[in-house]
Amino acid sequence: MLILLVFVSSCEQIIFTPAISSDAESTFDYLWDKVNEQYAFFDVKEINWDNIYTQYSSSVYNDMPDDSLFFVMGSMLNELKDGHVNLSSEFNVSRFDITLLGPKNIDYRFIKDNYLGTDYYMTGPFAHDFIAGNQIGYIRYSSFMSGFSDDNILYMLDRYEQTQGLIIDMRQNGGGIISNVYQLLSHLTVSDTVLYTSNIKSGPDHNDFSDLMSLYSSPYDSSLTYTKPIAVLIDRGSYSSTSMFSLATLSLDNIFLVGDTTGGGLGMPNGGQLPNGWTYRFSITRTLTNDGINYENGIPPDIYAILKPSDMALGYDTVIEAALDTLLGR
Amino acid sequence: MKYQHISLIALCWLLMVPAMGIDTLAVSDSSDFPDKYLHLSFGTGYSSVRDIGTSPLRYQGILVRVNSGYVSENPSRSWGVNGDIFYSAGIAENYYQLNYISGTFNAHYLHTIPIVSLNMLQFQAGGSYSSAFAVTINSSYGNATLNIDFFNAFYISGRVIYPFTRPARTRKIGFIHIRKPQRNYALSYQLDIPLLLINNRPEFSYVLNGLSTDFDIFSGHRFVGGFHLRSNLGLTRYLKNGNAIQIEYIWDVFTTGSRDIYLLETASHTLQFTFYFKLN
Repeated sequence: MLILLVFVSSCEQIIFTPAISSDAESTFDYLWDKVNEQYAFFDVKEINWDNIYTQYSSSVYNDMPDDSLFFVMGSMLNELKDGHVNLSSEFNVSRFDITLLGPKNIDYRFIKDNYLGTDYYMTGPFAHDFIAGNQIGYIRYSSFMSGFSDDNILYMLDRYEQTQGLIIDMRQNGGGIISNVYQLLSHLTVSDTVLYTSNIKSGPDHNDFSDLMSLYSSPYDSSLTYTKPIAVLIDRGSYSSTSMFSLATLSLDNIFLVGDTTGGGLGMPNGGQLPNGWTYRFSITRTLTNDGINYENGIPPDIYAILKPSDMALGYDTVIEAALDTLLGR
Repeated sequence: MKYQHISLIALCWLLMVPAMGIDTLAVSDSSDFPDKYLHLSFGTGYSSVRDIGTSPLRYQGILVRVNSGYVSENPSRSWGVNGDIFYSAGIAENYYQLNYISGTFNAHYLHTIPIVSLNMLQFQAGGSYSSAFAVTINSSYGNATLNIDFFNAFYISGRVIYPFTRPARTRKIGFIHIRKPQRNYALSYQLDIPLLLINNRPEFSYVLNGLSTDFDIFSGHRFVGGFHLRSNLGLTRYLKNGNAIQIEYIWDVFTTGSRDIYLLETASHTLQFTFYFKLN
């Protein structure tokens, strides 16, 4: 009986597949393969991933210092120019800072000094108040990581119901929780609306994707839905969920985008681990407009506006003023 | 929402498992009437988990498990049902932690084979069934932090039992007489060999499309395959009041194989203590 017990226990090593080597070359190859098979944006990034392998693999050799290997692999990933791509170790996190692709298009202290004052309202994560002689409601939402309640939104919509328009300022909003996007949109839509479509990688070839599914916004069950013009302010720091929100506004007639092109980040990053223990993430889904356009490289604004020092010297935020021009028909 | 559906299933499991009965108790007497037991088990040991969908590393660590159920046995047959809650915390590269939680419903029926049973050795053969869910949690994986798998398996089961008695004896130490009463034991070994495995593992993408507000956890493709071997070696001591206690070593190894699916390999070695409460 004991012999049998010893025998079956030893089967474990026979049944299991051998471990994958954690040396530098194997780890590099493992990461390159994962990206090659699962990354969702090779088409819009216009990157030849095979050439990337040739370029970077020559720098990798077994027994190289971890720091050097991390630098090579991190640099390889940064060729994707994607803020959703990271390599993480105990000592460093590689990243591509998408905000550096454009100017920082907001100075919040300047807005407080020149538009909001000191007694503006804070409702949940939203800073808001009347501006432009009480004709417009200004709402600042700095991160989709910050949750809110429907009552938060309803309070603001009630407060600004009589205004001529709203400004929702999402400049430098780096994204967060996607459900917050849908919750906010539900208060801005009057009927079931197809916002965009999405699919997910379904096979190892670069063009292997699942069937497209449509994502909807349904109106929140309330008589308070804001149907007047809304300007959403964006810049390169408007990333991920904020880009999703911006993309969704393309399907809503009363909302327009003002500022700079968003950072993109319209995919859902998936995480994993390498043979040496480091972890990575990159996008495995993509999001398309209802017309099939992939704005992963950024959603352009309807009205392009960049902060001008000359305007700021006069106390004007160029982007807010551009929005006000349209909202007030100036 | 489908997540509520999942939560309900998980809740049902959690409620159902303690109400179930247990596994294999070696038969204690020759009565034709079955002995019926409720049992409660606690175990701990070593486990390893490797899920290629997220990591090529094998996470190794400690496990704890609780098992409860019902078993009915007489010299000609044994059947029982039980529920098992299993938790393991594994470490890889001295830094990363993976939590693996599973809930399993088990059922077995074994029939004594008189032809091959010897005077002091009983052989039993039959079948077993298990249905399980497993939750893998590793916060290092971002959106792939949590994964849920479902496993169903039919086994061919075999068990050999060696009942023995330690006679009563008296020992004298100085003026003190120590009397040790007769004690009945049974040593048993059971092996479950897979016949059919129906598992539900994630597809190529491993995670669901998080943009959707309508998650369908069951959209992962179902496949038939893999290998799951279970065995346990137990020593049971029968008490005067009809109850019993058991210590057993449980070995369990499972692999999905790598055909059209992300490989999942788990193994566990458990030292388990069981209390049997006789119902009749």
